[in-house]
Amino acid sequence: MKIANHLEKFERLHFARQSLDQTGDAELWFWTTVTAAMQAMNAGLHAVGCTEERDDFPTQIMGVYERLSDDEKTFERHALLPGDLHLGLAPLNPDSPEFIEMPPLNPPGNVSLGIPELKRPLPDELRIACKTVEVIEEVRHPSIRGTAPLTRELIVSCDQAYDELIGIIRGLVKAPQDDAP
Amino acid sequence: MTPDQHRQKAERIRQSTKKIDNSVYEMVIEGAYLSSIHWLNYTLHKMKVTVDAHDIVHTQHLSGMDRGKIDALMPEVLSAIDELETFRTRYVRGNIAGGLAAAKRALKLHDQVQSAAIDAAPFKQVVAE
Repeated sequence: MKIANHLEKFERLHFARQSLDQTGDAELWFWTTVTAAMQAMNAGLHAVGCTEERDDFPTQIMGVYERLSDDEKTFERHALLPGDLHLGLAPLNPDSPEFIEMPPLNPPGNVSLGIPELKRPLPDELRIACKTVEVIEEVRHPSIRGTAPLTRELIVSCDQAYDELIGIIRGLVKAPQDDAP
Repeated sequence: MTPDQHRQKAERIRQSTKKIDNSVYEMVIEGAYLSSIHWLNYTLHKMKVTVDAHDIVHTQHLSGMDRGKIDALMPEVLSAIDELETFRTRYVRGNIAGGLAAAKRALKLHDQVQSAAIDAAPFKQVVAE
């Protein structure tokens, strides 16, 4: 998507996140956090030229994107260079371990085109942003898909990482509404 | 996770999704999807197709044999989750028009998965762990 589309989504997701209880709605609160972070991160990656702004969207298969056909009647899937990244699948920082280390149900059932190569190296601000995403992502498997408790400590750590990420991204791209509703 | 643990998560996520305004259709779709995946694992464990220690994360990452097995046993559940996955690509990660209608459809698909899960009975053949 385009940067403006990412930011528009981010603002609505950021607002929705505030309507959820961090403990009573732990799973959806976390999922909203990571979904909003994904939109913000993609806006930042486009803004610095690491990934392409395009009118296509990532599928669950890394490197495979879906877009409307020219006549806008069907959807097409194509293997493309990195556009929007799906954070849960794509390690952004080459110095970091992969986010997803869990094997698929029956290896090697995961059809992967490989880790996407960014168009240019991550600038320092986004390297820091990637670290914040990792803090959030580390919670996903054990506490959201699994049964490990989402403790107060983890919630605070996710919250701080999210706030730091948003601060970095807002500094890189001009948000249409700095004060979300 | 045990079937009961999946059920508790699925039900809590569905309840949380009710707090989301429809205008944030992305999270209605995500809530329906996330809850449905727990219902799917609940079903697979209950039917003795997978063991409790072995949860599916994404149906599109399954091997052909595993997908074929699940498709044979619960085609309506797999089809519903596949449709939810297309919604995630188009309306959550993408900005195709029609997100509100997709969110309504997502909740219906979730309810189909939930009903099938509650009705599921153990499969007579226990597959290898």
